[in-house]
Amino acid sequence: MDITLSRYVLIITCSAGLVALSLGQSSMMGQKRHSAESGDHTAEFSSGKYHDYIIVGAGPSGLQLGYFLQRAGRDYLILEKGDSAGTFYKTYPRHRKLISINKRYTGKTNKEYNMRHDWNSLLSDDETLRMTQYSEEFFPSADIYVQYLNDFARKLRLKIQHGVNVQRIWKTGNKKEGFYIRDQHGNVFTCRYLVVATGIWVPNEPDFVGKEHVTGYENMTLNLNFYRGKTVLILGKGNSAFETADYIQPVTNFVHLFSRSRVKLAWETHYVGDLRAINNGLIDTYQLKALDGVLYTDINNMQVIKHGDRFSVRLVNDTEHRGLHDNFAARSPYDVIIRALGFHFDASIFHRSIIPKLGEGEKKKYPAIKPNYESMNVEGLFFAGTNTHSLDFRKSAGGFIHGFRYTTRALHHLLEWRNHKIPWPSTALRTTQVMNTLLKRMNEASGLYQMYSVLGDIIIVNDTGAVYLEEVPVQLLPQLETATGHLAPNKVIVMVMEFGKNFSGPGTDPLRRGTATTVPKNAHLAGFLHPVLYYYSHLPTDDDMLRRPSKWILPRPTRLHHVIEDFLFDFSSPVSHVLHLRRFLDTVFGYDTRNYFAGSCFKMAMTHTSVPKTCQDQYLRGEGLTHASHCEASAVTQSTTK
Amino acid sequence: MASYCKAFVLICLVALLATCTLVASKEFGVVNTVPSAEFEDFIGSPSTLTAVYFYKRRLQRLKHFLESFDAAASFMKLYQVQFGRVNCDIDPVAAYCDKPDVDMSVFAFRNDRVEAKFALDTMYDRDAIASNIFQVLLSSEVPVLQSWIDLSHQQQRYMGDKDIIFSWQKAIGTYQHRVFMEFAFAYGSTYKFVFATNKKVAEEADLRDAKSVKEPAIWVLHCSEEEKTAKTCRQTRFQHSIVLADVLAFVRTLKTPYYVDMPINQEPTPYETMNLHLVYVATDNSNEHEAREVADKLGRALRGQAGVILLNVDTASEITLESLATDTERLREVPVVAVQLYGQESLDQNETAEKPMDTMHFMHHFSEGPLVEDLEVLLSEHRRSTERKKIIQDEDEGFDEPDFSAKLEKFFADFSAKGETFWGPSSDEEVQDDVVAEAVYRGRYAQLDLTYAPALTDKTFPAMLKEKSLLVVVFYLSWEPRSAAFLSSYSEASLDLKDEPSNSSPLARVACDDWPDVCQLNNVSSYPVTKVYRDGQYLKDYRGMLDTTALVNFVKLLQLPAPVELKTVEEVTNFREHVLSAGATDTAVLGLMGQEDQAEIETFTSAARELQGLFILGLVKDKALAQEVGSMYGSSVPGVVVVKRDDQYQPFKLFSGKIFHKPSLVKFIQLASLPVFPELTPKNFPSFFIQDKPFVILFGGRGEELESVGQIAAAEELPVVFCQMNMVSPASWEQTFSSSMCQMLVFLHWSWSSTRREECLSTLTPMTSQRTR
Repeated sequence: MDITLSRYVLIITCSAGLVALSLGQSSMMGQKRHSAESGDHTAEFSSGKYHDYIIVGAGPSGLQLGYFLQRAGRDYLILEKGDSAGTFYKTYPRHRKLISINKRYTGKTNKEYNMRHDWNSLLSDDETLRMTQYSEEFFPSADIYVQYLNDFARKLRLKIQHGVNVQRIWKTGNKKEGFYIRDQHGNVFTCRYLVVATGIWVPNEPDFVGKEHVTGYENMTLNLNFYRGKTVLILGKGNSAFETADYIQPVTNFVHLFSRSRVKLAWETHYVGDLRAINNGLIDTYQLKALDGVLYTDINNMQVIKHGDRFSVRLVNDTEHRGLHDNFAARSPYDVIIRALGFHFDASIFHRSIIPKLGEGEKKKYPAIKPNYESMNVEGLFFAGTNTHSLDFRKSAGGFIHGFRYTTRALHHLLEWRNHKIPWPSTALRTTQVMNTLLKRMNEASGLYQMYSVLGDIIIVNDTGAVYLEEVPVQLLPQLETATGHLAPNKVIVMVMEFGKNFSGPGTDPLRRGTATTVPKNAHLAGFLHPVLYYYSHLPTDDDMLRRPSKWILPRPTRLHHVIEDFLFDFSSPVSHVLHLRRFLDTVFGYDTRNYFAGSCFKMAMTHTSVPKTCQDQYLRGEGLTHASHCEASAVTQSTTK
Repeated sequence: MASYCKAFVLICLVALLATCTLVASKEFGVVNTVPSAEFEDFIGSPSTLTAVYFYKRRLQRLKHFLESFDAAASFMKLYQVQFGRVNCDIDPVAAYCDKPDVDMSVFAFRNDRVEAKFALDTMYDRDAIASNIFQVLLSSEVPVLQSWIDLSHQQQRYMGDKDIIFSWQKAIGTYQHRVFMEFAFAYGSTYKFVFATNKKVAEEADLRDAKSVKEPAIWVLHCSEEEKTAKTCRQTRFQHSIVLADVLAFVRTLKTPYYVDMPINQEPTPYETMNLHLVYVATDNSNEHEAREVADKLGRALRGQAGVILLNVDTASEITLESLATDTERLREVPVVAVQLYGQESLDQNETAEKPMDTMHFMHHFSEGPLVEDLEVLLSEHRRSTERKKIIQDEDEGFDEPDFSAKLEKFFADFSAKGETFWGPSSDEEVQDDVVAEAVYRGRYAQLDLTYAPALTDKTFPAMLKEKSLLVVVFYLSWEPRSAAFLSSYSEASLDLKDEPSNSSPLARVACDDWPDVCQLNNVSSYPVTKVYRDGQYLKDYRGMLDTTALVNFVKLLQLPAPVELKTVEEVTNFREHVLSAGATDTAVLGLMGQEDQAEIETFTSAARELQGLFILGLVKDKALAQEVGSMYGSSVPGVVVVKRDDQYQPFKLFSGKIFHKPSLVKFIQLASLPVFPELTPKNFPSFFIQDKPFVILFGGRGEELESVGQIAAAEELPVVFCQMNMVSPASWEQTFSSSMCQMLVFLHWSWSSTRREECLSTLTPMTSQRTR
């Protein structure tokens, strides 16, 4: 579910109290009104039902966070405005086809790896809860997804209260923690920690003369007969606009699309929020001179004028077409005009004292948040899911299910440390195992892959080896210690996946010859997604982070290593990938981590004052490697001639 | 395997060459076909030479020539020579195309005029074309000499001014001639280049080795260092065959100083990057003047072969001296001359050696005449031996010089453009230096029989766990070298452990790159790791060598009860004999208890479980039987006896601790099981090393010697590990520990502090004196 369509909605209405035991029961409970409704938001509602955590919205991210909280044994409640989970998906996408891939076959059994190609499933230990088991379609129906989300909630026994439409959220006094939430019936919920997982669901409706003649994507009819023999104009250039065009195209005279800026094709930008090939049938017919077309126009300057049953479009302040020019491209009248301009965050539920700041420019449809998913201006107010996309808008996949299922997990780890002093989960590794772990992760890790440039594995180097943290938001690196609870006094390595810095963008041609980099010494020039390792002799500061070079996701490291891109995305070639990585790591650790057979270790132990790290860690502890018969001869000659 | 490798290398080379050729043709394009209208302009460009071939579609077998013409064109571009082709069939230039045999020659134009015409049959390959074109290009700068008189005229002319580089070439049109002319092009302003095709010129001019050389050769006549009035110039011969890289290295050395002073602070000398032999003239303050003269003369004489460095031992730091030779005393016996041969230090340099081996050759003289002679002998011997090695290598690799030089051309072009550049062969390719990865890669096609160590999945792993009372599972990563190497041992072990009736073994495996979930559930974070499951429960990790025998023994011991209960004397004897002859272990441990010794029995049983897989423990729970068995070893009851199969000096050992305390019992069994005077091997070394004691090693040694040290060892009075090494093993051992003088050697732990070493040595003194007696 990526793209514009993927915004799920959230929300809310609360009825007081009781934890939902089942879907049916919870709606019954909703009937018991609480009498606490009051206009005075500062009053104390001691009767409000209390939970440590309240999540607003039972969409994919709300459910995902609920799952993690439940597994950690936290006291939480999800408030959902609909009568079951996934309300947004009951309506959207209007034409009911998800455009997130549901890849059921990869030729591999590795479940983590397979999640790289399953864009719909949420994370859980229950293997029956995978979209691949719900639909055989590569692009499944949204109806199935609603069923999936509800199964997810039911099978995992997530605590959801349905029919709770949140009307107002406020805080008391200057307290850092503690939120009050009132629903449509006046019931009040209280919680210590609030996570808003309402997605972005309010349609964008620009103000222009004649906007009343325009039908919104959200309520356009799906009856094709309505469009038969009609000339249609669609405002918008995103996936919902093109999806609509695709749907009605077969029966219309022709379809025009108005767009303020150029159409961005996802295969050029590597951003799943841009126009996907599955939706771009209109570009095909436009360029093959089949009447349809795309026009670049500023919608805010537009006027729609009704002439009988038809509508004509005029541009105000249009110097080009005033006076002499009589060839305005959209001069023929339209029968139907549809607005498909996307959605924005619903900030109306907050009391005016805690209205979260919104993003700037293109990101104004999302709340402005810090790398730890906390509101810029409201302390203790956290976000999860699509509404956190301001962090990586047009850069990574944080606005889409396959991305935010991982950022939601990251949020959970951050909250565990912030609120309960449980450090970020970690693995202690011996030096000699760091490389294996890195290679294993780059070959299978899904969170690094989906949330490229955003989530990274962090290796904290210490005296005995290293501590390995998975999928940490790399923007938190300067605050690593306070955010995760792990001390990092010295060396730190960060591994992320990145596209080449100048590889993606509208108008680039990723299919031209010569885009592949195949020689390891040119690994840093690689364009396609590949692992990049940043080594810092000391944790960078906030200042370093602020002053990082443009287009860089992290400050300049002490050393940098690009693992050469690979067509098969398999980074285990002995020389091109492994050997070059080992050279990098050996420099960082200051050890020789080559493997030796027992014979060589023995010889070195007898003739030198020290032996390589692998001999120390393995051979001298009695875990040396001898050769099985077939590789013996060659290895012995090797070690003696060197 | 070796032949596979060879074939593989060949294929790679072929592929590489093919790639190079492709790249070249893309990069430089084919020779332009010149339209007739542009022909005048094309040949008229003033500063360059233009080679044109007038093509007619009539000659057979022209393809090879055209390809060579193309190749020469792209190569000669570096020298501002342009190549063109006129198609006389389609777009003729009448003045030429009308001539009947115009397509039998290649024309060289300069300033609109035909400068030369080469018959097609002399243009048989790229080098022939390039060489001939060079000859025309440089005809005025590089004279062809007809007799020794011409050469002496040249010497007169450049006396006191320029050095002359003279070459004897077999003919124009050869690879060697081409190379020579390339240098003439690049270095023409610095040196005077001349050559002759008649070898008599060289012979009659009395050039060194002129009579004996068989292949084209180069001499440098150092006329610039002579007075104007001198008659002949001192000469140096280029000793190698004419190959671009070698000549380049040689020419670069011509401008180095005759000798330099040893830099202080270990800065590099100018010779460092030139692949030269180094001659050190060592002196002290009193001899310095004389030494400088010698150094100067040696420098002149060895030009191009060796760099001479003056080393004043009074001023040089100790570090400098030590960096040169381990035997610094020899350097102090001034005046002395020592030589470090190029290539030798790097050849002998062990991958892990801290210091290069001592490669200094000390000379016996210190006067110039004999010295130069000796040095030349030494250098020429070295040259012959390296050439021999090189030939062997070349055969191995199928490497061929002209292609190598083709790769160098571009570099050379850069080089001549900049004047001076660092010279050193370099390679973009990283070379695998992990012996395990290399061995695994080479064996990657070997089929392992893993029928009896089946790969488990998320579904079959729990099923197998339920099914087998003993399950041993290796968790690994398929692409990881250590894992892959161990898998072949694992395969061998599974065949060994195969149980006929059930047609399976206790071994199985899980590839963590396929089933990360299974590995995670089993807490795997290092690879490979072998885990033991008993009755569906995790028991322990296998912590032994990644080795077939070690693993097989471990599993066999796991299959035995722990402890084995022994009820009769026969059972005890059988247990001991059977266990020791079965070979899975060298040690049998007997616990001798009475029924009332409940605490001891418990401790012993618990130790037996802890050590299961490593040792086999037998328990007697009958006082009478225990006493009977105990009397055989002199053990009290309750007591523990460790019986060793292979220890002739200490066949068994008694547990002396009175109180049965599990950790000390376990530790006792682990230590007592080790032989007191074993032969040291890669497999047993770690178990001794871990004791953190000095090693006393007997090298070689025969019956009586072994016996007496063995007895000292068995007495266990000294806090050391006694062991022996058989000197028949690799010759390198002999070198390392060398010596006939001391047969016994004490090794101290390298991690110890110096005080601890000293203490330890003093403890050992009485023992060594006893031995000497």
